[in-house]
Amino acid sequence: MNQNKIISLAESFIMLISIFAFAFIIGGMAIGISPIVSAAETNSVPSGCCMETKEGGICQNMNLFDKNTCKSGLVPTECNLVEQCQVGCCYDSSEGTCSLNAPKEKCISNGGNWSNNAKCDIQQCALGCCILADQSSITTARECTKISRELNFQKNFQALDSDGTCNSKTDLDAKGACLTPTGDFSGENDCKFTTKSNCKSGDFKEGFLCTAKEFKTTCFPAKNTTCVEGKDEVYYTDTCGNIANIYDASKFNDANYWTNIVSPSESCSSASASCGNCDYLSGSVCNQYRPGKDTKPTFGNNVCRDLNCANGKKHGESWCISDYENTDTFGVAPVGSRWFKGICINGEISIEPCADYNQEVCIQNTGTGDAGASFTEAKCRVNGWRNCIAANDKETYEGVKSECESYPDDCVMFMDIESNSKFAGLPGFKADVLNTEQGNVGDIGKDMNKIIPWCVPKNTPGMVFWSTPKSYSNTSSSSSTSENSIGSGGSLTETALICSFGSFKCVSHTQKKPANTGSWKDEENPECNFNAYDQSKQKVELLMQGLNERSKMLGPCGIQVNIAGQLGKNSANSSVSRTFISKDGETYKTGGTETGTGISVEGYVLSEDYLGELKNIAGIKKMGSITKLASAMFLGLITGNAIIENLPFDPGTGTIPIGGANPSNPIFVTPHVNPTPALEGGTLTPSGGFSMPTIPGLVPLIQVAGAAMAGYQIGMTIGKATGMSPGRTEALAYALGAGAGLATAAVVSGLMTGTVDAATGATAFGYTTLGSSASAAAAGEGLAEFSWCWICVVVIIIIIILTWALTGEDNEYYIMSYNPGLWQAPAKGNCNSCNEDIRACSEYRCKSLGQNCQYYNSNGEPGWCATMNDIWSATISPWPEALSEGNKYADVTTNHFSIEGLSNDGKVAAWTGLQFGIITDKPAQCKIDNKHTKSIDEMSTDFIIDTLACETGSCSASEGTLHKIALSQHLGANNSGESTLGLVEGENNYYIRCQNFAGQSNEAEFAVKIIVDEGPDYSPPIINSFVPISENYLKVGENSSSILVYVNEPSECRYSQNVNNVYEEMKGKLTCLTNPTSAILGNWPCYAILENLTAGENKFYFQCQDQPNLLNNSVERRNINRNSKEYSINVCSTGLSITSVSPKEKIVLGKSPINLDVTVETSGCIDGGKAVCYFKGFGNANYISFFNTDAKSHSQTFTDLPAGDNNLLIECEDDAGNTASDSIRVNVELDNDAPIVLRNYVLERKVNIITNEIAECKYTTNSSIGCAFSYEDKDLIKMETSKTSANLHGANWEINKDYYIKCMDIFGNENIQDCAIRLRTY
Amino acid sequence: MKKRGKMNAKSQITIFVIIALILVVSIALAFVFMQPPAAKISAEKPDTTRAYIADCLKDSFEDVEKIVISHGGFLELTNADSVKFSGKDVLWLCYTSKYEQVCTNKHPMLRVEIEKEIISYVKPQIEKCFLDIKSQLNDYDYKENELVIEANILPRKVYFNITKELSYNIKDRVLTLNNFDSSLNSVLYDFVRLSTEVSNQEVRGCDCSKTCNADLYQINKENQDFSISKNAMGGDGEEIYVIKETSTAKKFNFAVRNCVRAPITS
Repeated sequence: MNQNKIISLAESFIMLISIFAFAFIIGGMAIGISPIVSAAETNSVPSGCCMETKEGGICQNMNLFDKNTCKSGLVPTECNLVEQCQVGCCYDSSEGTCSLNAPKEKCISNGGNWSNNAKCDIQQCALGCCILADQSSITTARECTKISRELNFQKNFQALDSDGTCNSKTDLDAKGACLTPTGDFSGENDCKFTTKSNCKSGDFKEGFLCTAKEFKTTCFPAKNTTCVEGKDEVYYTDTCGNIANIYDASKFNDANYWTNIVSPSESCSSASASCGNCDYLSGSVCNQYRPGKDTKPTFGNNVCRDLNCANGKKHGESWCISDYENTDTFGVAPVGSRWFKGICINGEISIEPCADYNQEVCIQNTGTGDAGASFTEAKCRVNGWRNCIAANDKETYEGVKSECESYPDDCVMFMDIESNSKFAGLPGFKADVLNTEQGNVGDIGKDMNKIIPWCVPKNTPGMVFWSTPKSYSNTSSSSSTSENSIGSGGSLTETALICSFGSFKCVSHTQKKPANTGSWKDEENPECNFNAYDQSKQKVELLMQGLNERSKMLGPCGIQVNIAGQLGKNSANSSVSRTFISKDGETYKTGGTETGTGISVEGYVLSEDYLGELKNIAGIKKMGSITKLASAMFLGLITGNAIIENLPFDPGTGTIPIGGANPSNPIFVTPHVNPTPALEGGTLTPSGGFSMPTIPGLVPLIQVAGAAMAGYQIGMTIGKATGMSPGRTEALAYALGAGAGLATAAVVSGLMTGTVDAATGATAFGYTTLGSSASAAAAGEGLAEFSWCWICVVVIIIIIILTWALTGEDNEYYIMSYNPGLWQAPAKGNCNSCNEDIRACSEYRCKSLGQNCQYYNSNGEPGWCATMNDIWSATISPWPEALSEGNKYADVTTNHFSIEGLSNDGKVAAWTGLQFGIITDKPAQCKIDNKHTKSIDEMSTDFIIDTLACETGSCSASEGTLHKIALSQHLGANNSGESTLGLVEGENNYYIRCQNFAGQSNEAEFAVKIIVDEGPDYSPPIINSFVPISENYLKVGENSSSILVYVNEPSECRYSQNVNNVYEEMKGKLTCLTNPTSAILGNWPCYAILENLTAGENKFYFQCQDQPNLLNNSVERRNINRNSKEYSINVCSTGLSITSVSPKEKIVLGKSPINLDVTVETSGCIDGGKAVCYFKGFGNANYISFFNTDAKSHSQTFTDLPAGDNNLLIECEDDAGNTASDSIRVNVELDNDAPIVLRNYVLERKVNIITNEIAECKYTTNSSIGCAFSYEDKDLIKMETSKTSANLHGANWEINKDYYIKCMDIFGNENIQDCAIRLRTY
Repeated sequence: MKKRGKMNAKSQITIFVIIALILVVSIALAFVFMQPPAAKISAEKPDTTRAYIADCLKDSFEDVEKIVISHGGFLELTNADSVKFSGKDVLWLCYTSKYEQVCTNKHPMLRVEIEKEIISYVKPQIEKCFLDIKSQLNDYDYKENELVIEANILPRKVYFNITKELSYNIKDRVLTLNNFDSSLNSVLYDFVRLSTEVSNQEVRGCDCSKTCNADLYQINKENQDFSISKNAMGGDGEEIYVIKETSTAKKFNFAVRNCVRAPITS
């Protein structure tokens, strides 16, 4: 029992506890699901100012929810209303220091002076340069006093430099010799000519050169020169590569000139072959010597080059280059033409192409430069030709003109071109006639010319006109024919469509009336009928000219010339077809027969004079006259889609249906040869006899009419049965109808008088159906019955004859159908001229030259234009610049040359690396072998195609035509490395083949002969290059970097850091590839990881020992380059940062297109922040480089922002790999709609309207104008806009007036087609 | 056996005595040598008193300088004042807890505050040193008044103005000492100057719609003896600046939270 009692008590206790626990849990949950605070409630939470937060914040606004984070309680107000929290300038009067944005309380409590000027724009805080001997710092005046006193200097406080620094005061930029001991106990110094600030660890000798003898440096005068970035002059360099004084050949042996820095003003006075004191202001600047163009300098390879160009253009001047002279005359751009921009910079002319296919045009402005001389500037702009084509989508000339004139830079009305006034009045050129009625004759041909290209591009666009648009390329081509990109020629379909707009149909009408006795005459549109009866009226030749002129302005359509001045292959009359509709309604087309006669298009041709003018008017600038100067830079802008897509194109005819016409049967013509078609075929068939009318007098009349109709029908039947023309048939029908009527009238009149037997009379009317002879029989019977009335018979006959002779008409129609078709290149052209021109070749240009021309761009753009028959192997000649020093080419013929040393015996020095090159006359891949082979595929070693040489301007050849190879004795006769072949003592023969751009190679080998001298290897290794190059940067925080060192022979290499040790003491060892076949263009690579790099400059010294294959006991035979090759690498101490982005956030409201300029500023360790920035957004899914970048400032212009909330991500990266990112946000709200009138009413004698947006409105009450006015027209009355609401507009009320009102909103959207509203007052 | 046992007992005692002596002497010697070196003050040579205080001050200052430099100028930092960087507390010099807001200079008179910190550390140490002096000169009718210390952070040094007058009798004359001023080499002045400059540049012309930064390139260029670098902490926009004196490798750290871009919320 006790136990049970205990258990019961325990259970009760547990239950009790559980109840409380459960209640507690529930209570806790209830607390956890408190209702979400609404925005309204959140706003009502009290807030206040926390004087100091637990996290360290001072004077922070916060609400009561966060008060636990505040050290003290909240002050129930905004912090900016708390006196102690006011931020301002805290000035330490003792030290003179200032702190910006300092809280008042904190400042004062520590003895500072506080002022209400957060930016410290107070006199005490004005900063300046405090100069202490050779150092300075930016301080306040008081601070400077204090520092100077403490450091025992006389106070020297000066204003800041213009850039806010003290650089000019400290001489940190002063230059001089920076000496560091060589470390080899020789007492000599290594030396670097640098600034004081860069000579941290060395002994800086300001104003001295490294060649100053007193410093015992390892550097000596040399006859080398260099150009220095940021300086105009040519400078000497010493044997260590340091810059010395300005190049002056006369002072090379003057020791003083190699001791101290000599200023330009104290150097040789004028630029010449012996003096490198160039001066930008005087018009010359240091540049590389160009053989044949510059005067050769006495020493070195740099000259003072005239900034102005040889063609008379000044430095900085740019100008337009075209393919033809007469560029101001619209529509004369030849097929294949392209605009280019010439630029003169530093005496060099470079040529930049505008977008191909004339999708960009070059515009030029001539201003005034120095001394009043003219100065031209040019730029490429988009050719808006598509707007012109689209403008023709109007039914009237005026409608097209209105739209066309909206694009005055790109479009022109064809009839507004002065030389085209001669076409006015011709069919298709009548400005006062609707398009639908151009060239028609009544219903014949109506609507067949719905679209007439009244509006034409000023600059004829280029387009694909050939049927195989793809060039012979393995790579994508910038001149690809993909649609929608500028520089693209669209598609053949689009070109055909554009050309079809130039087509025109003209119906000419001739008539003979009366049909039996009249003569043929010209009626409508005799101008387009070469066979017009009155030849003075036909204007076929002029019409053909007009149609062709108009067509060739649309694109490569019709008959025109190419950039070589040659007419296209289709310059005959193939553009015209004719249809003849004869008087009997039969249709004959060109080539058909009409009783043995074909419908000729003879005469529908362009005159020789006109064709001659086509060749001459443009003033073609012949190609191939100037050698290409520079490679092109492609500008990739985006244009809109083709104006019409997905229209069916009939490749057979090259036409596209316009205005709903059927292309296979372009004209539906039902010859209107019978004026009473309802009667044709004798279908008038009274269903049965008819009862006599009971109305007196009416019955005879009906009888007469019925007889006439019967006679008419009989005549028609007879005419048709006998093959009469419609006009003659008609005349016969009239005559017989008239006779039958008269005869019937006579009979009826007899009956009425009772002299005729009723039964007979009934017989005369007894036909119930009109058979082929019914009418004639009836008439004959009538005449027989009334034979006594011979006079009546005569009269009737006379009337029949007269009617037959004087009535009826015959019509004939000629339908001229003009379709310009696509321009076709001449059958044969000089394809190579495209390659040799200063203007870069492209597929469009190449194809325009001839149908035999193919474009090859396997090696990229610009490609190569050649005929299939012209792609024979490349010719080979020696390349002088590629040959190693101390050698020369000799015995040069078309199939071989020799390489000789400069010694008397002509032998090439032993154990020295040899490099030579060849030039091919066209782009090619070349191979070399030291044994004979049968084909290029069997040859062992590839030449390297040198592109850099041309980029630096040291060659005059096309890309892909320069090839070089290295030879080395270290490989031996049978070894080869990459672009390296073995060389042996004695005679060496090499054989070369080249395969050109089209896969053709020379069958016969080209031979090169070299005789190498004998002798041991005494040459120390030469370190030719580093990868990465010296003085590059690593990003902040990095402390190691891998490096490749290229040595001219197999070697073992070592390095030391910071100290220039001797080889044996160098601790760092490189891993070197010493196998002979490891050579890469005559160099053997070594690899190392440079470690322990610190922020700033890290110097390394490299030395190598050759012949690693020799045993250690032969070490004395191994050569070492004791003069270390220096290498430095800089580690950034600061990363890259984006210092400003503009705009950061922007809301734009307006009419499309919306423009936006984005600018980004970067700062960092390379040149203060030089970097490349990219953006992503605004519809671009990938990062795209800024238009202007690779500098500290970066900018990009967007010309058509998409609507909506746009986020643009920005990423920048410098050469060291430091990155920074940022973003901008632009909200674009587009309003492209014209204002809408929501309401109108009359109040206080005013007509009032309310628009849906802010606008201004104008109106006219002239009903003859109606809504056909432009908002910008004069003589419109402006409505008064209410001062209280810009949506409310009023006009004076006048009774019985029509108000035609148009409005324009603040973005320029206006009512164009129709009025915003029309009102009538009464 | 007995004889042998007796001899052994004596020998053992002798050995124990010797060991005990060695232990005692060793402990005595250790005690003697482990005692802090007594101030070598000569009552007759007042300069020794000054030198003693100078040494005392030097030791004390070197300690405090080490501490304040690593903490941005303060001896101790609370969580409210600092942010953790590499396991150390770093002072907020310019701070805002908000986003897109320019920071407020939390220590506009940093120099004064550091001087106070130095005094608070050094003064007890100096007082202790004066107590040592007092204990050694007590026999000379030693008298003294209150110690007043001022610290002035100056270019390349910290100047201590130590005011305390002490006097004692020696050879029937009263010797009074009252000038214990001392100047110690220090780069604190430059650390304060440069940190203030960085902080000011963070704020000067700052518009949070752009990026507000100090031009470290220019500051580094103008102060060749120092290397100023910035480490972005990530997280909530904190940035740690480190000013390093290149010759001594002393590093002064401080933190800034300025114009922090608001995190993007979805």
